[in-house]
Amino acid sequence: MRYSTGAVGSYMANCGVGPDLPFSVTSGRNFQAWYNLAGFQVFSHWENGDVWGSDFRDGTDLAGDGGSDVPDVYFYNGHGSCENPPTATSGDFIIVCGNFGKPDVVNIGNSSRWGNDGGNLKFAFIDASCPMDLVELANSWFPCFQGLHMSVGHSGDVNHDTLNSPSRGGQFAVLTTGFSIFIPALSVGDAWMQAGLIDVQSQVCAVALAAGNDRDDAIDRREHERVADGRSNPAPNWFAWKWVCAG
Amino acid sequence: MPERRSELSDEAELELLEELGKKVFGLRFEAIVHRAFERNLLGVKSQNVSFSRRLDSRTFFVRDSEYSAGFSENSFRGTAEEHFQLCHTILKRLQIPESEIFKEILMKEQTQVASIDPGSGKVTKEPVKEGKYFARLSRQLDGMQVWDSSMILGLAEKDRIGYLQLHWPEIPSLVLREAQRLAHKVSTHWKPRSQAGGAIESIDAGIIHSPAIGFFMDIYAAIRVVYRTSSDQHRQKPMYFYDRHGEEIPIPRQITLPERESDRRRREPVS
Repeated sequence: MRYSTGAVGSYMANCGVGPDLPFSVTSGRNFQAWYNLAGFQVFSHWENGDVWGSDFRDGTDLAGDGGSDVPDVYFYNGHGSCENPPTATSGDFIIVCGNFGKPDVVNIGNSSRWGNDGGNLKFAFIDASCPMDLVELANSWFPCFQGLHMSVGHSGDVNHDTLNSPSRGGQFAVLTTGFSIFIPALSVGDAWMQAGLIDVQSQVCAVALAAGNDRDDAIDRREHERVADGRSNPAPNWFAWKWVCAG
Repeated sequence: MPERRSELSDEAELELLEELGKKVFGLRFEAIVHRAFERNLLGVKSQNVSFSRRLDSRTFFVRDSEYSAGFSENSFRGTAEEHFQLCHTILKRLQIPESEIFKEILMKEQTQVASIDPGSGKVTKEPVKEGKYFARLSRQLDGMQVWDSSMILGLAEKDRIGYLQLHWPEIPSLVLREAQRLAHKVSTHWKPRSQAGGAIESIDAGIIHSPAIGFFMDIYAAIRVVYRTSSDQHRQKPMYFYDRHGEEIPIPRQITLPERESDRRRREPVS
């Protein structure tokens, strides 16, 4: 299986907005190090201005040098956007500061589709701010599943946000791959329920969403699908998700 | 009194670990099928239960494969008291004082399911159900948080651990002393540097260290500053860790990071 990381920490210098995120690049590299150790093949591991908005938009997400629909697994760490409060139609976002591939703001529900037109992405790990608001899942995320198996992210609002963490991405990575026979890989959903609450403010929720051919399949994937399972792509007829919120 | 040589053998260490699993964590191993050292871990494994600890930190892991294979909605849900009581018992047996618990919370997973009508695209959601419960304990020392220490406990049934990650490393006295000095500075005159695009939200002195799973155990006293974003759109709050001079301290490591090619740049797409 192939994976990619996209880590954006530098915003102010080239985009004039921000602030910068000091641990995004480290988070991406930690993720990469654990996935390399587990034997996954890296497809791309771009940082800062080399992560482009076009990487996440349908139509350009199959770019051979970094499109998010080329690998099987994509881990993003950088800015997202939160509302106060989010509504069913306020949108979920990835916000980069790319050298090319503008615009930098990606409205996930409007623009992102994964697994279609020969795309490969099975696991979308979006470690940003409020990229998976619970109230928005049906509008912002269900349409993205065109072969995608699972996505993880956070739900929150302007006053309850994720902190840019030096640890979260790497610990999530190793929980999904496992480390030794004594720390076996968790399912993607269970791994995010543990690691997703590292360095978040109160009331932020870690969210894991799975598609399935039918009800039982969706629930089984939410509970048990591991990155290395090699399961076939689901038809997005059903969705099952779970979340846990910081106290 | 120095340990006898035989007590320092690998075999003796693994036997001690098995005893620790039974006496401290209440684990019930069926026949042990595997005992081994791997990197900085040593562990024992029976058919369903894995128990391991780090060699370089007071860090323990328990995994029950039956618990992992179960479904959230069918999981055992004990009371907060049942969860916390077991946490306290384990900490006490490890001689960790209860006063080090900063906060204890019973986290409750929520689950939901929806179907999509293929013709109309109409989404039909089922009611929200409860999933697995986890106790999460955070840590303090002398009133200061130890941000990366935690205990996470999920129960397979009453008094039977399904999932545990206890990462509560010993903190060197000099690090604690420095953290106390930092707390004093924060309470008197210390001011963090500004960060473009961010406004200071909180300033706290405490201790950071490497996370639970990893090959390093770095520990630092630090002043943590969280900045809120001044942008209306960009979210995710940066936090920085500073020393007494206002310089950023090294990030506690978990794994050796990949080398980077200094001239590696992505090319403009050809339209």
